[in-house]
Amino acid sequence: MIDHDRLFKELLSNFFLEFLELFFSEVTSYLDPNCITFLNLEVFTDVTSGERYETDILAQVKFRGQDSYFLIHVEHQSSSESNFNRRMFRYFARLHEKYVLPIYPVVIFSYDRPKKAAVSSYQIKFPDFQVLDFNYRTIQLNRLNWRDFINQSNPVASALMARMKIDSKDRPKVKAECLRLLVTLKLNPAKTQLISGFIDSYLKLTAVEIQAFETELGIFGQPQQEEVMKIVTSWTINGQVSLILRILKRKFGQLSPEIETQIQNLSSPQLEDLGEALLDFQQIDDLTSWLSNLEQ
Amino acid sequence: MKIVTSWMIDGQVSTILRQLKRKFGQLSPEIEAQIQNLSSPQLEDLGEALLDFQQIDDLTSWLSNLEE
Repeated sequence: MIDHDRLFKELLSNFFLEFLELFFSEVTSYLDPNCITFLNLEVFTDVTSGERYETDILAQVKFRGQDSYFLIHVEHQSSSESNFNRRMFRYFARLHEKYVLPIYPVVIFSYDRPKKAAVSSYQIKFPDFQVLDFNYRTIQLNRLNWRDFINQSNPVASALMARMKIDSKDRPKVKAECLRLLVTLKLNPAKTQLISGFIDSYLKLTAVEIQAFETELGIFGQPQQEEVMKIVTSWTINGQVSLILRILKRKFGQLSPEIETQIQNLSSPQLEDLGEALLDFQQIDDLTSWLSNLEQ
Repeated sequence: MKIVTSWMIDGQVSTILRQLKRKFGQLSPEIEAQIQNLSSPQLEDLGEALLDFQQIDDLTSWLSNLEE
């Protein structure tokens, strides 16, 4: 099970400016990029349904060149919900009451269906006049074409392309293109891991698709192909290390930090060898001498 | 946050399959397929459990216990 909300929150909070640049570049022209503060999540109770809701992302931002602030509220919705527009208005009203600041409301819809455009306003009107016309920005991923983002030099594009409108035959190609875009950005390892993890979570390929994916990588040319494979291999190693450490701890109890580090630095084939060798280990010395034999 | 990717699972599956083949020789395609469908926490549990497996039946009964 994927925790969609946490993945999106992690993505948007780590790449907040990039997110704004990608979808609302005008906003980035009037905010001060050095004055963005994430505020604590606000918890709301819906008294009619009894459900508790919390805001996903709430940032206080300074207007560029001015001494005044506004809020950017980003909500992520992984399923289509009736009356969601009313909930957005409630968030807006509560936040406005508490902070007395202008609020820029945004919703990112990540569900697969329905394809029809989501509601982006909440109105209250009488036959003779309209009291309220509340609007919010929407990004509905299933209505965006991944091909339009392929040349955006932006990590959020690289991640979200994986969740856009994709023909099923294009899934391997899109995964490859997301990763190609990612390697061109040359992010640090932690950020690369977050984005590639996001991509993989939404584009898990079947065995047949994996072959097509590898063919796509082959078209990129060697340097980019190698960079993508480096990301894939680092995840493979990650899985192997966590497995091997668990088995070794079961066998020998806690391991010293030095031994753990040595194991974390092994290659993928070495980890497979170790997996086999450890079946015969009787004591911890067998492990240390196996490791020291490698270094020679 | 901890993200589990399909690439992590690939690495765990191939390590476990090698361990099991070393212990029991070739595995049936059915057993291989069952192992390929495990989640990452299940694979780690299996990694621990296989230390105590004496015979291939221990593996098949471990797998069938999962399904219940």
